[in-house]
This record gives sequence, C-alpha cells and structure tokens, in this order.
Amino acid sequence: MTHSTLITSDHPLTLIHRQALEAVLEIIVPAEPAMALPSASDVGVPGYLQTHAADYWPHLEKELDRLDESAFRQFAQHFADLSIAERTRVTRLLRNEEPGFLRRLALETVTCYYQDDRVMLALGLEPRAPAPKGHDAYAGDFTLVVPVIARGEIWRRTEP
Amino acid sequence: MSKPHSNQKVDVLIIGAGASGAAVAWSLAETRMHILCIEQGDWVNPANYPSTQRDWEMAGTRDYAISPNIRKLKADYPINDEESPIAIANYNAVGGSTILYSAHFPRFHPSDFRVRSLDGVADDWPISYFDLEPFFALNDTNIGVAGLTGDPALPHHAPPLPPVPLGTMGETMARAFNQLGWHWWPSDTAIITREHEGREPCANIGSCNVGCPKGAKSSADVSYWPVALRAGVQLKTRCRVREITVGSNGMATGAIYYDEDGVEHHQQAEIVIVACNGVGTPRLLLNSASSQFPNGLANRSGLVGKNLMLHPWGNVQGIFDEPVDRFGPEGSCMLSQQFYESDASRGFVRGYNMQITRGRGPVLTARAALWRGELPWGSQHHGVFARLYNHSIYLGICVEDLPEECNQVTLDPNLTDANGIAAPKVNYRLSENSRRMLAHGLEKGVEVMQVAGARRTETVGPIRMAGWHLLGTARMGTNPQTSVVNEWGRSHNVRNLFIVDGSVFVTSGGVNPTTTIQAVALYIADQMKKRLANLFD
Repeated sequence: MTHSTLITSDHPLTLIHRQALEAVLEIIVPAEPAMALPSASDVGVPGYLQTHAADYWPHLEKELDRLDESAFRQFAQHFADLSIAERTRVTRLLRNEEPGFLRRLALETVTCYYQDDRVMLALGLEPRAPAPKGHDAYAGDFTLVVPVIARGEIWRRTEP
Repeated sequence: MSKPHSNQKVDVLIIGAGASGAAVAWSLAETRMHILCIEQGDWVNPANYPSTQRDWEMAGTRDYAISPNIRKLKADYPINDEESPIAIANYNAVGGSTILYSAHFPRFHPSDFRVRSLDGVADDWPISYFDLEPFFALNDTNIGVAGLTGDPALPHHAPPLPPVPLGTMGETMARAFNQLGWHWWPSDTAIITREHEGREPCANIGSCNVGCPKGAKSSADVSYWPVALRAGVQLKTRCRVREITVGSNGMATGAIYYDEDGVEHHQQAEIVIVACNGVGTPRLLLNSASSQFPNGLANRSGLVGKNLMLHPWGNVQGIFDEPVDRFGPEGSCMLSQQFYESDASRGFVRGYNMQITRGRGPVLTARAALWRGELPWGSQHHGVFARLYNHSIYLGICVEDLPEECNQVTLDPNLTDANGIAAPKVNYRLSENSRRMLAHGLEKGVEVMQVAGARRTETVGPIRMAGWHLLGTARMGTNPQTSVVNEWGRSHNVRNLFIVDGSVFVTSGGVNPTTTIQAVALYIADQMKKRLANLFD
C-alpha cells in the first residue's frame, strides 16, 4: 500500500508521540488473524495523515499528550507501555469526558485502513482503483417484472 | 472602465454547456447558423476522475463534491444557501451537472403537465407530455438510454438499449415490491449498456456519481458535445458571462463575459439562449438589470428567480443479514412509482418516486458508521463492519415540490464570485405538503425494506446536501403576467432571448428531471427551427 513509505528521519512526531499513536491505532482497529486483517498500526496511518490530514497534526499531538498524561496519572506509565485493556480504559475515559476526543484520528484511520491491499483482499476486493477495469455484475432476473405488467397500467390519463 | 473587447457577431449565443445547452446546440447545428456556446467551466479530463485513483471514495468528496461551496474551484461561483434546509448542488464544466449525476433517467408523467386541472394546485404547463414525447425519444436515441420496454407507470416507450444490471440487490427489492403488490421497474438510465455511437459500454466501475472515466455514462460532454462540435458549433470554455446586453429596441444584443485571464469581452449575437440551470439562469437575468429592465432582464412579470423547486429528498437504508452485490451503476437500477400519482387519502397532493441505489464502498461505509457511533473501536470492530459492508440497500424518496413564490433565488448583496459578479442567494422552505409526502415516503420505504428482509432500517430526510434539481425560476406560460417565457421558451419581454433549462419548468414532477430538461430543450430548439423566418415576431 502507498501510505507506509514515511521516511523515519522525516517523521514529524517525537518518539513518544509515535509510540502513543501506534498504541492507540492498535486499539482502534486491532488485527484479526482469522480474517487475515492487519491492525491499523500496520497500514501506514502516519504517512496517510501527513499526506491527507496535515491540518490535524498539531491537534493530534495535543491528543497524544493527553493520552500519555492520563496514562501516567492512572498507571504511572507511558500510554504505549500499557496493556491493551489499560489503553482501552484510558481512551474510553477521555472519550467519555470529551466525545470528540480522537474522533478525527479514528475517521482518518478507517479511511486509510480500508484502502490497504491486505484489507481489500480480505473484503474480497481487488486492491486497485475501480477504473478502468470495472467489475463483473450479475444482470439479475428481469422476469420478476411479470407480476408488475399483469397489474396493468397505472399512469393517470390526462387527455380526453 | 475600459471598453470590453468586441468579438465578431454570431447568430446564436448559448450560455452554459450543460444538459440543456448541449442539447440545444446539437439541435440547432443543422441550421448552419454560426453558433457559439460560452461555458464558465472547462472540459473535464476523465483520466482525473476519482475512480481512477485508489482513494476514489475520498477524492469524490473534494474537487468532485456536489456543492460549489465545498469545491471552490475556479469555475465555481459561491451560492448563499444558508436560508435553505437544502443546499444547492451543481457542477460547472462542459457537461455541467451531468458530470456528477447518477444518470437515473425517469421521464415526467403526463399528469405532471396538468397539475392544476387534475389536482387544483400549482399551474398546468402550456405544453403536454405528448408534445414532448418525440423529443424524449430523440434524446433517448441521441445519448443512448438503457431500460426495459413496457413500464406500466408511463405511456409506452422503448428505451434503445438493454437495462443496466439489477443484481441480487435489485432482485431482493423486486421480490419485496411484488409481495406488496407495488409497482417497480428497471430504471431508464443514461448509461450505455452496449456500444453506442463509438462509445464503449458500462464496465460497472460503480462510481458514477463522481464522473465516469469510461465515458459510458451519458454526461453531455461525451454524448452531445462531440457531435455538436463536429457539426460546427463553437464552444469557448473558462469564460464567465456577467450580463446579457440589450439595445434601445429592447432586443438582446449579446453578452459581456470575462475570459480566463479576466479580460472583458462583448460577444454580440442575433439570438441569446440561456442554459445555466434554475439558479444560474435567474442569477444571470437579475445581474442583467438595465434602465429598460430595472428589475432584471426579462422580468416584467417579477417572477424571475421565484417558484424555485428543489425536490426534497429522503433516504431509507436497509441493512440485511445476507450480502448484496454492490457493483453496477451506482445510483440507477430500479424505481417504484407506486405512490407517484395523487391519492387524496394520503393526506397530500401529488406524489413521489422511489429510487433504489447501491451501498457505499468500504471507506465511506466505515466513516459513516463511525460517525454515527455504530462502528466500535477494538475487538468488535471487524464483526460490526462485516455486517454493514455489502449488506446495505438504499431507497431514495424524490418528493414533488410544488411552486411557491417565497422560494426564490435573488442576488446576494455581499457575496461575489472571483470576477466580482454578484452571487445567488437562495431562500427556500419545505411546504407542509412536501413534509407530509416525505414522511409518507419514508414510512413506505421502511415497509418495503422490511418485507425485503432488512434486519434494520435507518431513515433520513429531508437531506441537506441534495439540492440537485434546480427548477422553476423562469417558468413558461402563455400569460406574460404570470410567466417569464412563452410556451416555446422565448422571453415574453425580449423577443430574441430564450431560456431552455430547468428554470422554465412550471412544476417539478417527482423524478430526477434531466431527461425532461433535455426533452424541453430539444422541443424549444425544434420550435425555433420551425419559426426561423419569423422568430422575433
């Protein structure tokens, strides 16, 4: 997929922010091996954000800071060092306090996630743009109109 | 102020290269008159359409968004629609809004032209369905309309191409309509299903509403314009008309426009034809006020901009346990007109169309569900998503909007476009009749979805971002006191000025209007051709 090409040295986030972001992405969309679905932390979300949501970076950094602060208050650890259950608890608390917290991140995450090759394949889609190849379509059974015809015309007469 | 650059006079100047301007240009080309069309937008390159890109679902929400206030492209003009529950949609390019339309192509019914006589509301049109019938058929042939002959909701007509796929989605809904004993039919669709005039058939790319890179959707840029240009019509793009000019004899003399570099030109013409849609046309006429027409050009009736009709729209989403196929034309597959004609027992007059449309792609499915709070974070995410994606069918309710003078387009006192031309302001409200009709439609939509097996339904309406159908703001009629143009599209006040777009509609019908807009445009062009010797009498 195209979004995993962010060069580490160009990364606009600090190491702590990067780890917190990866940790929260894992709880937004976790991997599901049985369905061959990766975690959102493995589909290049940072690169996607940099390309398509650059306006969101400053706010994201503040949200990641709040995650870490909250993790320290509750567990005396960085957010990224918490267990999945602990991370879930921290984020749930913040989202309950402020319903818009990390909403933009979640929206951008699923936008990136559902364009990933592995995800598209798992959904039964070819990992490509729809055009020019298009898709096969089942025509359907047009004999289903027979009862409609049998009921006769329904348009309203206007001329004498 | 410097004098505008004066261009060589043409016989016919058409303003606007969308659905109606293209049809008129094509029809008049056979007269061998010197015809020039001016369009504020440009040709759209199909290779740039969102569906050629991996992020096609999101790309469609940016430069191909339906609102000019979101796109803000150079070709766009802003529209103040803050005082309307329905936002205005359009696209400014060669082909106009057909670039983004779903190509759902149902015709108006005969009753739509006799609303006053039949139901005692609004007004009758000065022409009938049967006056337009040959032009509906001509349009179907010209652009290649797909459909199934024999729809009992309309007088007999025979679409020239076979219908688009119903798919398992269509079959599911067809069985439900049959179980209820309600009308349904495979939609007439402006999408070619086999080769037509050198164009290749639909490949089920599935993203019609953000442009068809295949050229199978019959937007006016790929259907009418290539033929009209080969026949000698001239088309100038990236030129925005500021005003139509008039001479001391009260006749139009041409139009002043800005080219892409902002240079002002005066294009002289013997005949001026306006084809700018139900918002753009009144905007232009009102911006063309002069000492002879202080209230706006062709506006001695005071009705320019009034009686705006928008088709309030509702949606029912049915979510099914079994998967439904998603690929095929996006917004055109089948319709039901069970509740199209008036029935006093329903508590409203006139009626509505039900349009079945396909579900969203994975990105928009996920985003919408997340936004609604339906798609959770964590371990439940994948299971919930799997139950939504490829499991939804949508049913759109297109409500007939009756004309009311309070619903209108005026000029915004402050807002202007990039050339400093006053922007349109829309004041619009839903009537009680529309509200009742929409509520009825949503209820019936839920009913048919449940019969079809939907485990859950969601309804929404009126939808704000749905003001596609811009009608009624320069209505036709035989009385100059109560209409703007006569029964063949000529201004009552300016004898060489014609209007051919949806502005001339007297009523709105309850269906997507493009086929009727093009039939009316072809009808007006035909009337002009028949009267060329005494067109201005």
